[in-house]
Amino acid sequence: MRVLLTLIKKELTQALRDNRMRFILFGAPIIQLIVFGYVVTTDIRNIPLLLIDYDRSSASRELAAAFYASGYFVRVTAGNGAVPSAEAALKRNQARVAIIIPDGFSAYLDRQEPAPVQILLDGTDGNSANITKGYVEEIMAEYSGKKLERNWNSLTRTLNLARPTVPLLVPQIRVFYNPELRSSSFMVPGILCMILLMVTAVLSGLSITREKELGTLEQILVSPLRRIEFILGKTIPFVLVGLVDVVLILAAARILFHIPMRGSLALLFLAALVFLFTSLGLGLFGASVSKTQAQVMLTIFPFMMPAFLLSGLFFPIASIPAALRWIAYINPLTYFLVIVRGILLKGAGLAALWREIAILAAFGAALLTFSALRFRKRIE
Amino acid sequence: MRIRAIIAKEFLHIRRDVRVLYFSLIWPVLLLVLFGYTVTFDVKNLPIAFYDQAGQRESRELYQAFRQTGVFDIRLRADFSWSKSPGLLDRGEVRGLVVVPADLGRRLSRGEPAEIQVLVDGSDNNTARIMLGYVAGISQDFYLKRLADNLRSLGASTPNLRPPVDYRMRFLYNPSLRSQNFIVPGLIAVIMMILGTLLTALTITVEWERGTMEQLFYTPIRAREFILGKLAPYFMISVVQMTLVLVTGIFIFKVPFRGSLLLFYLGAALFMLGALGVGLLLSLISRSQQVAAMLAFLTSFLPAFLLSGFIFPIANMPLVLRWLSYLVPARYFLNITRGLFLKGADLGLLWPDFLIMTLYATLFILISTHRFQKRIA
Repeated sequence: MRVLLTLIKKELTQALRDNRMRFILFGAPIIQLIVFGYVVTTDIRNIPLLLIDYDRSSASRELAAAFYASGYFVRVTAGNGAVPSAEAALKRNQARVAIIIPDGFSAYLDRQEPAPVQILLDGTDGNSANITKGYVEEIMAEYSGKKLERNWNSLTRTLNLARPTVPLLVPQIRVFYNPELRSSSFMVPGILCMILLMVTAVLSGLSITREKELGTLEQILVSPLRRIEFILGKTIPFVLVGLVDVVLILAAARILFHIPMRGSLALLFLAALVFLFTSLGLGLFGASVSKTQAQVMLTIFPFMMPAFLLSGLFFPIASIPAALRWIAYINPLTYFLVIVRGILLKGAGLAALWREIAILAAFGAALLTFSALRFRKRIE
Repeated sequence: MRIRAIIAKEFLHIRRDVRVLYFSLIWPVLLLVLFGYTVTFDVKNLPIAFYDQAGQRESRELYQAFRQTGVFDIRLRADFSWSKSPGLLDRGEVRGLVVVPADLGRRLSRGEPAEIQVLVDGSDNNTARIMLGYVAGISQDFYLKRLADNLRSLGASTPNLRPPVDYRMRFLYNPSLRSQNFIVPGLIAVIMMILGTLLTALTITVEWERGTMEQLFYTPIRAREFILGKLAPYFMISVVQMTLVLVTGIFIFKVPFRGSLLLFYLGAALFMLGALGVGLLLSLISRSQQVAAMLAFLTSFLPAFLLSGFIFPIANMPLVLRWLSYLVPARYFLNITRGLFLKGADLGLLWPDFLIMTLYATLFILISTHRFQKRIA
């Protein structure tokens, strides 16, 4: 036990005496949190819109105003008053959307015939284009609704009917957990999971392999230190660092992004601890198949990207094609994400999350045991 | 001659470990496949619970309207209770609940507004927003249909139900909005940035860490030769890797390539030099591989993934990050790849991006060579 404590102390001193390492362990996660928190958002705004109005009527101006007032678009102004070609503006990335209202737009409306409008969208960024399409449909539906109602009003007038009373359907909407629908509430808990995986898996793997690479592993092996103590001594420091990072990130999330903490902090720490088994298991696995630190990176890194992508971190699992969805279900990050989001946003307790925690524990125990056994065999 | 020795030595290292080749040649293709299929904000199979407490024609009509959107995976239930049902949201079993009250039909026939309850899990804001959009659309349709029925019953022969504005949306460059079409050109930039930075950062740091750098100092090799010798093998690998991704993109994912191949390789070479330069600089800053690996991740992957406009539009970012994005070389290379793949852009359009990338490449390599010389001295 004393030996183990000494090793942990040595490991921590070694990591923390380097300025750059201190930055990586405690500064970088905060930077990542900030960048991810602000950048990863699905509320697309400030879409540059070029609106070319050939009709110049009150109806066309009303349509233009509806687009600008929506808050989704910013007006692209054409220099020197000339109307730039819509396609050229899209090609030069000056605009993402161009709306062309042709001459005679209002005349069509007055005759109650479908009035043509052409809308060009830059499809190169398919997701933004898709979201933009939703905005356009929303604005158009509202504009059309108004015109339709006006038509019907004039119809009832000409037929000399009383305006019919129509029962409305009123959806009473209650949004749970994230009533303002902020992206950061969704992303920030995810980033916590991501950073925890990255810091602990990569660094523990590298730290073990470093001894191999420098040849100090042999020295350790001839010392009275037992194998299991060596493995524990190499991983426990990163458990500690990981838990400190959790605290740091939670504090930053609270201060910068006003992310609530609705559930129990103790449960979150318990879950993080359980998740660390998996993450350190991955690091140890990397170390067991590598002789150099570069190899560890090359082993762990390719695992991490798919783990991030197929976990529901950015993109909903239900939307992943069925052929790939099973990967999400064997991905421990998926379960950890459900737990962290559940605790932070929903205030979920053990009753709602025990299944995820159990899966995570089983997974972590299996991976850690497998890697530890493999590692012991390799160094004997 | 001395450069060649370094190159040969580096290739020997690579040959000894197939993982480098796997990482630089197979992994990018794998990543392309995964990204190509998963990067979508579209929402499908959204589980919701539909509580039909009325069980009448109107409530079934509403149920059908939700079904016809094709977005929801609806579980039909009858027994709603305020104390128990929202627990479905807590446990994540469904993402929303729609509750149709028992008196729906009676209220509608009396001409009173009828309320339905919609409870939404807002934790995934994108999904929630899409769901709310559908709810608004469905209730508007429900209203308009009733309004038209009403007019008809009052004797108006055929109320004009045609939409007043006939708008046509056309997506330029990527008409079907295939996600592969925008993922492939963007991912090329991200992969090359990771590869260039990470591999060079590690390969030079390892010499420091093992003390072989001192041995190299005793040889007559010059700094410039050492650096070029270290960069050349990875540059060559990256050319192969670029071609592989290009071929996968064009032939397997059928992404159109409308520009000039020559320009593509020119841009890629410039970008790669910049990335290699960054890696070199990192290896000089950090003497241990742990630090180099993490810094490489922070300075290459994160900006290339987040601040280049790859998935998340730059126009959307807060001002400070928008300014920061100008410092990210991947931003310019992304313009070039998307321009060449989808828009068929030419040098007349892309020259500013080429110019900036040339500046970056020169700057990074000059700074790191300079620092390297100082370190040796």
